[in-house]
Amino acid sequence: MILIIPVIALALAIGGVFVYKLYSEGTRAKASETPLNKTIPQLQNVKGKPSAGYGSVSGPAIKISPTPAPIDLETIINETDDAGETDLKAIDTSAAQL
Amino acid sequence: MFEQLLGALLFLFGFQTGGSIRGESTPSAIASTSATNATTSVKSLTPNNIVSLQTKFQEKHEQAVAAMEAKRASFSASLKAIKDEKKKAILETIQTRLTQINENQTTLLMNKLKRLNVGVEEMQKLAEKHEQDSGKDLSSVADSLSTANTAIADAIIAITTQAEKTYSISITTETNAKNDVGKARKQLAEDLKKVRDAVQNARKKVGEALKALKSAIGKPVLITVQSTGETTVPSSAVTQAP
Repeated sequence: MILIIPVIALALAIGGVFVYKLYSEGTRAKASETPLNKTIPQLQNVKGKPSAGYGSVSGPAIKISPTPAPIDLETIINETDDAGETDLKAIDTSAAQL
Repeated sequence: MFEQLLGALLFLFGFQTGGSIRGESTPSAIASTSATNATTSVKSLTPNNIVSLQTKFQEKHEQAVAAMEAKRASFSASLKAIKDEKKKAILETIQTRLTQINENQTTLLMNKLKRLNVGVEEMQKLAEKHEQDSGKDLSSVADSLSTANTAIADAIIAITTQAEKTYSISITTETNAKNDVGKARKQLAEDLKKVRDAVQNARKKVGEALKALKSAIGKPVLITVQSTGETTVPSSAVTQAP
């Protein structure tokens, strides 16, 4: 009986130290999240009225045609084709891993 | 073929068949008959039946998609020879890409030929108007336009034949997989090159027709092409390159 009481007291003391340490670390972590400077500085040298929303833009409307613009025949004649060479080279790159 | 023979016989006996439309039979055959039957005016030119040619192209495309679906099963079975899962995935991707490249290239070239055909039609209209207004003989322009039309139709037929083809990798062994891929890739590259050359020839002929038209009119000519009804890539081409 004489031995049990100091053991319980020691266990309680150790437990208390752990609980305190956990508590103090938790509060410290929480404190680090809090910004030091909470006040937002006022804007300086600002003119005009504050915006009432997104506002509007005036000017000529841009019309997008549903059909593509006509192409000059000579441009079509002078076009070149690679016969899928670029894509076939990508196959070579993949095949190199085999 | 029979129609050409009949036409040639009738021509020999002094008869003329009704106006044929290119695309109903082989364009080269039409070209050979029109060579004997020298073009006299721009108005007598027979235009390419682009709708018929395009329909055939779409049909062949769809047939190729169906054929590839059937071949896919045998390809998947041959993949069992490969133990490495990474290699299996690469081979599957390459197989898909081979089909896509053929579909994309043939569709792309078909759209380019359609534009060239519209260009020839526009040139013909302009030549017809000039022929009427000036009363000049534009038979040389008519011949150039006819040659351009034939070259376009020939190229469309080449593309249609190409669109029908399928490229399946036949895997022999795991160690030989790279070579097996190389064979299919080489075949596709060679076939696409032939088609590209046919399109290039059509471009050349259209260019020559434009040059002939410009020199006949004697002033700068600007012909613009409004691309309409672009052929789209079939639904089988969905995934991207690795």
